[in-house]
Amino acid sequence: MTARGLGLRLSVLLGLIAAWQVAATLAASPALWPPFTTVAGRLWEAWITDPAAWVESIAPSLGRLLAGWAGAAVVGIAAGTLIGLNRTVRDYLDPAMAFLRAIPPPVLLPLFIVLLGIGDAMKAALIGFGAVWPILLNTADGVGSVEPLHRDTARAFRVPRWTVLWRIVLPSAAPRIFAGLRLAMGIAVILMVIAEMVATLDGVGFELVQAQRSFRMVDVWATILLLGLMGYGLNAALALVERRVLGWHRGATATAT
Amino acid sequence: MAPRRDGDRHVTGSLLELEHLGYRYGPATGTAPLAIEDVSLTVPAGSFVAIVGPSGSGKSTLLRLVAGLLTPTAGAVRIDGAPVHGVPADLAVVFQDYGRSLFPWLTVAGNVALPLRHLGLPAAEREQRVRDALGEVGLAGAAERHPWQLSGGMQQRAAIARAIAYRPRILLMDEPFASVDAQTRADLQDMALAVWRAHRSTVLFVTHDIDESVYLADRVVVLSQPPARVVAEVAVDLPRPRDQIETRASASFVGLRADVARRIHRPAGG
Repeated sequence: MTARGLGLRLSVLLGLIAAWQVAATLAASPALWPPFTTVAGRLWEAWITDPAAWVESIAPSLGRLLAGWAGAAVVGIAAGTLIGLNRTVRDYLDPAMAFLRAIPPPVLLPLFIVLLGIGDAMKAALIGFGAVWPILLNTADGVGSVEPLHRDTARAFRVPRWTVLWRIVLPSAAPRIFAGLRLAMGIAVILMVIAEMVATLDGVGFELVQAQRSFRMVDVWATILLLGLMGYGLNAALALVERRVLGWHRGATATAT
Repeated sequence: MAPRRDGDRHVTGSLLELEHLGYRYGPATGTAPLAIEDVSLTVPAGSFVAIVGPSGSGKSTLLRLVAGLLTPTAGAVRIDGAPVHGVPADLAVVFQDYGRSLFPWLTVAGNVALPLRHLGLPAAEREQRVRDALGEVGLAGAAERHPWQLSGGMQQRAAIARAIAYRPRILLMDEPFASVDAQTRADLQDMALAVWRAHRSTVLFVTHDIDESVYLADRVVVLSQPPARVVAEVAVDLPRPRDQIETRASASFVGLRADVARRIHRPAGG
């Protein structure tokens, strides 16, 4: 991205913030709709610079989110690889997967609470259930659509199955797998908040509900801002890893056009 | 193996034999089109045999049968007299579409090294082979670059390096120079001859370019319109080493080229 492009993009964000500031000031209803500066100040003192908030809320939330997401990644990549490599397995599992995928994960929350309690395991399981599908389906697609000449080349040189899997199939599916991982991260953030709003005694989602119930609107706004930052930060971190791992893909697709 | 002399057509031992090879697309007992009707061919050890034919004549299919990537629906492929099932050891393929054959996530050296991983070589020897092969094709300086950072000709050199590092007895080349420009093609042809001479390997080379087949080969096998049969085998007794200018200008080259062309275009009149 050029410096000018970056400036343009940032200017839109800054414009939105300025609009918020002006509108909230004009509305003059600071209890319900505080200006941006008030919310940012609260975000800074009550979250960012408060070690207790990190230990008691942010860390547990991130822990659940990452546990659920990582579990989904392991299960999704493994199962997706099996399904992608084997047409028969795919044909048998397709209807079941289509059905399970169609269930909105939040409706499983009551069931999971009964089965697993309201602990971290339940939340990680819920997050994992929602996040696994984009990873699994993208992996299956990527693994199933390896360039045929890559396969022929591997066969002609009698490359063993495991080497083919690790050094040919998975790398060539990696761009699709990463797309799935990024989609899954977005879903994981949403499910983390939902699980924490309904059934928990700590975490960012819990604090959000507490603030709302005691009419601390500035805290509600600040927590929303925090969740936005968390989602953005996780996505940026993943994009950074992807850039390193898939450097070849960016280069190869750039020269192919 | 007897040393190869200029014009020597009688190299001892037939390494590769195709016996009444046939191939039908789809189920073997269907009415699906017959790609290859009946191809018998003997490739002596150490020879350079080119297969030419009209486009769509099943040349590439024939090469895939030899490589074991397709299973013949009739006949057999024999190596050292023994029938081959699946992909034979000691065989490497260079495909026309280098862009899809090289692995873009690996460096050039990584591409060359990949097929060597399962040969059980000590790491030092593996690296040596990669270095030697890249040096031979003139890519010593490009080892750590990725295929997509190279020109088409350089990519095909990388694919050839990958094949020769594997040290195959039989090297199959499927229209390897069809998608590069004329000057690059001439350079790659001479490189292919140098590699063949240095490794004393046996080359089966498919092309639709009559000039190329005569320039490179000891023997040119002409296939018919599909379903493929062998229309003629033309012995090429041009002296080696061959030269892009001298050889192509010689009367015998021009005569052979006309001979092959005539058999492709008017097989019945041959």
